[in-house]
Amino acid sequence: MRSTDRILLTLSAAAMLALCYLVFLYIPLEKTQGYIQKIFYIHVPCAWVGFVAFTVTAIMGGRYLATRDPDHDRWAAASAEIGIVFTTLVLITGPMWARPVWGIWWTWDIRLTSTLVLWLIYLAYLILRQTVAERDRRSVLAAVTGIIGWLGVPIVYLGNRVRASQHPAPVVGGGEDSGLAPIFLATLLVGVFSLTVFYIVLLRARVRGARLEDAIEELQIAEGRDHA
Amino acid sequence: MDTLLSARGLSRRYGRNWALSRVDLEVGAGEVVALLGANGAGKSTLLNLLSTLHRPTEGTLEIFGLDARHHHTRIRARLGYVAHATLLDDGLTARENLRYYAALFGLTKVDRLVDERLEEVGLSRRAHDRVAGFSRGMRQRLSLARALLHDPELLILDEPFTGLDAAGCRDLAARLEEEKSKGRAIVLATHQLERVLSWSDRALLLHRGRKVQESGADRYDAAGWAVHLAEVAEERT
Amino acid sequence: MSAFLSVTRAVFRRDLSAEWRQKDVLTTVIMFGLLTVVTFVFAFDPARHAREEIVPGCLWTAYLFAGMLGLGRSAARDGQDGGTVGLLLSPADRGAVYVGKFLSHAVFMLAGEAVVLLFTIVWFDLDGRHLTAPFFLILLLGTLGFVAVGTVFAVVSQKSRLREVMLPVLMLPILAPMVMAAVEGTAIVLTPGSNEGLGEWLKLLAGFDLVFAVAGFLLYGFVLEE
Repeated sequence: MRSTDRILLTLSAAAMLALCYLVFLYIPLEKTQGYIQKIFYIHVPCAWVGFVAFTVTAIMGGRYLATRDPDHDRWAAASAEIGIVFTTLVLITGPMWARPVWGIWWTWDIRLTSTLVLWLIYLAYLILRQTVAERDRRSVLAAVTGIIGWLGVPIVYLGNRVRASQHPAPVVGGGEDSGLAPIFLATLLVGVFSLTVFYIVLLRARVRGARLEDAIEELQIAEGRDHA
Repeated sequence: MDTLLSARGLSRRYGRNWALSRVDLEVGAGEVVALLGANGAGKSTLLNLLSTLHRPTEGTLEIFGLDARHHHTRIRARLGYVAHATLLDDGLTARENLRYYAALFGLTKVDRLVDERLEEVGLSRRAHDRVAGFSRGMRQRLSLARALLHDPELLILDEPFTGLDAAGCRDLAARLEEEKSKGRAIVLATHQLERVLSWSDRALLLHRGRKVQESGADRYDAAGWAVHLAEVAEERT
Repeated sequence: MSAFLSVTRAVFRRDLSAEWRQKDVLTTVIMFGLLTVVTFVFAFDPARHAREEIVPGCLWTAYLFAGMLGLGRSAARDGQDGGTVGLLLSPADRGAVYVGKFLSHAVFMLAGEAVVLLFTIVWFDLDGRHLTAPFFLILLLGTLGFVAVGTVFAVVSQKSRLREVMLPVLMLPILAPMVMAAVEGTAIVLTPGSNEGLGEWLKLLAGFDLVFAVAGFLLYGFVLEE
């Protein structure tokens, strides 16, 4: 592990500790929802990281198509993998909160649907990568899928806004939209900061790992070639 | 003699397998080069690289003085390729197939051109028949007509004699010799060396992705022949 | 520009004449479209549900699944006997090829959809009150969006080991907004009374079409080339 990563990881961990302190000991309990509301401070940062991760995948895909540098493909793939992990956490923590507060696990409203669609798109992206054996081909097809998939996200969001305005979702207790008091906002930002930095650490580690995997394979192939 | 094509250290890897390794090749204008070797020796891989369909993993390739990595569109406009598959649409007639390719190559005066090419390969009378009803020999002739539509300076053929009867082979060899006499450079892969050695300028023997022999067709040395014949025998068993 | 158009025309004409003789894609779209509609009738008894509740979802599900099978067929046919290789070997503009494919796929889809629609009209007793200009506009915009995305991913999925399975896996999530807009829009049109809110869905469909047609146009070459 390099010193940059050590610094980043320390920052992230410190912010996570601060987040725990703020969430569990400092900020007051939400009146109507009780303890379950605290999941919000991990749920929203995860959603943020997921979205950032998939955006990075799309951008790196574009850069790969422009340069054909395999490293860009590694960044894109690593970011999608991590994005899937964080989005999965969103899809788990969401219903955990919704069940006691809304009385249902799931509702097809704006954010839930767009998060689910995003998750499915990049899951398909990862499946595609698994099912194309040849590296250059895999990188190109994945890059195109990563870009086109990302383009759908704003449209899903718009579509849900139109639908939501017609059929208001059965939201009991406003929660997220109802304007946060400064201390709640600060707590949320600490969470976002912590997980974003953690995402960067994971991404760097994953890309380094992928580079090593490729380097090992190159060595094995070079050896096989000279003995052929 | 002008150099049409120049490859240095050309290598291609598919997964972990080096299908082609460090092959050098020069082809001059109007020259005919035969690639010999058993199945899996790397002939098709080399042709796929020369036709710019695949990118080399290593090495440099210049065709018509253009870098094949960056200028494949310009190269393709001047190159004809008869692949192992016919590249023809079974559902279309001979004429429709050629018209389609003429449009893809941005050619003009398409009707006359297509008629000429069909005439050359002796398919004028079947022009309006669907390719689905064609014999292997007729498909191969139509495939050649397709590859020659845009009057390419370099013609590449992958195993053109496969599946043809003796008459078909003689016919095709004669057609290719004629193209040679018009000054067209030809690179072709085959394992039927007797079909090509008499009229090719040079032969290249590939074995497991490497070039093991290169010489004028008449100056194959004993070792080269032995390797090649052993491979052919191995393949037939 | 004329070179661009002549490539587009050649690709379009080739697809149409091949389809005219073999009818692979059309058969696929019509058969699976009809079967999906019939399955819907079994699943949701039309006697117990209002027309506007069943028909939009039924119609678009049928078009979507039948269309994906049809596109898969079309891409598989292109790959036969190295047809895609032949295309690649030409210097033809990849964008022009995309436009040609886009148009031929749109024609196949619209033709298949028309047949499925005829049966749906009979089975669900639709009439002039339902089949208005907005209805057909939604049909057209939805289909164009489907084809814009599908033309690219039909090629992508052919290159995956999973082939035809990969097509819906890739396409359905990306099509989510289009499906939502098409179904909601169709429901509004079929519901007696005003067409309030329809404009929003039409705008969304048009935006979807535009975004993905441009993306497909720009990215198709990369997909084809590999």
